[in-house]
Amino acid sequence: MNLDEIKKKMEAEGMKDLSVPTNIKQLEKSKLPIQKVRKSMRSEIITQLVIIVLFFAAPLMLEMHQMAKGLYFILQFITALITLLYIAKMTWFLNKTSSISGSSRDTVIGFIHDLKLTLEVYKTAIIAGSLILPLSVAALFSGSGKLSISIGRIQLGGEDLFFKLFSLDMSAKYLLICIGIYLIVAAIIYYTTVKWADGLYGIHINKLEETLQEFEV
Amino acid sequence: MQITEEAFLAAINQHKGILYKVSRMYFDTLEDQQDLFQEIIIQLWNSIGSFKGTSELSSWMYRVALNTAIVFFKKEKKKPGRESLFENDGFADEAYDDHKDQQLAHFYEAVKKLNKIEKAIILQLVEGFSGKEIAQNLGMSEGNIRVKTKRTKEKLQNIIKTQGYES
Repeated sequence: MNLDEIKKKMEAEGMKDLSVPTNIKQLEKSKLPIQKVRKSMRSEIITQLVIIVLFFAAPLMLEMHQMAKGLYFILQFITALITLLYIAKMTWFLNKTSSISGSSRDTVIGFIHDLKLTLEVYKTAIIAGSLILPLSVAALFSGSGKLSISIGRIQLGGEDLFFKLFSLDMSAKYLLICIGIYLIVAAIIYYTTVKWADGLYGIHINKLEETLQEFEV
Repeated sequence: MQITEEAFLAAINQHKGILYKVSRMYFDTLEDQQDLFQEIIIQLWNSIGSFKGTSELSSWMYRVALNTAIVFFKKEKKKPGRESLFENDGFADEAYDDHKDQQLAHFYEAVKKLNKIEKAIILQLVEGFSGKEIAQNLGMSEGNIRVKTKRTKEKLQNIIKTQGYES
């Protein structure tokens, strides 16, 4: 294999359909994994915020006890605040990208690091916002008097359910059941978010880790 | 380095051969090559501020182009109607009369079977980079590069031989 001949042929080969744009605006957005992941994450977090804001309107469609309504708004406000803080933090973080002009190995390591950090920040943002959601939903439905449940021989419904739930006016056994239900819902939210994020975005990390392995002799 | 858009694009035009060779080395379909070619320009534009002028602009461009190719992944799904350049060139169907054309076509066909780091090594060897320069660009020790270069060249030779071509 004559590398000099290959070089001459490569240089003699026409550039086919590859041309340099006449201005920077003609370039499309970057398609590097980190940019694609960050773009999707940004829109997902903003979507989450929009959904939270829409949730604020829910009590307008339901007749609720004033205390339930107040609690619901406080919980929604905290959720919105957490999400907003994460959006602010992420906007700063998402604009930071590792240098691509260092050595190839450092570039790959930097990209893996950035992707992992981005993924962790994303998971925390989604999970932190979502963990208050079961409490908001419980306040919304129990406070509207439209929900009734039976626990053993005890029938709970309407405002009675709301006050019992949120003043923890129940036996230790039922308190443990409520905590258990909340933890199960929280675990489902956590597991779904982690699986969703890893499945959707983890693939890019795996590919880059495979590339990093290729540096090994 | 502060540079105007016009000056930047003029520099890209002057050294576009680097971008072409990297794109051609890493992808065989025109669509993927166009995507990578454009991505390299984006990354060069985004990183031009980090160019200190201590090395040749072309060397710096080469490094950014290679790094971009290494962290760039082609689209999973291909749009119909986009063919491989080899197919466009008639590599599969037409007989080549010219020995050198055949040599380059076989070279690119064999390169497809190399991994991203092996491609980077071969491209830099073709360009005449020294072992020290390749080691610096890739972030590996010179000793490791020597071993990897030897193995990569052997691997490429074997692939070319299995293709039924010997240069």
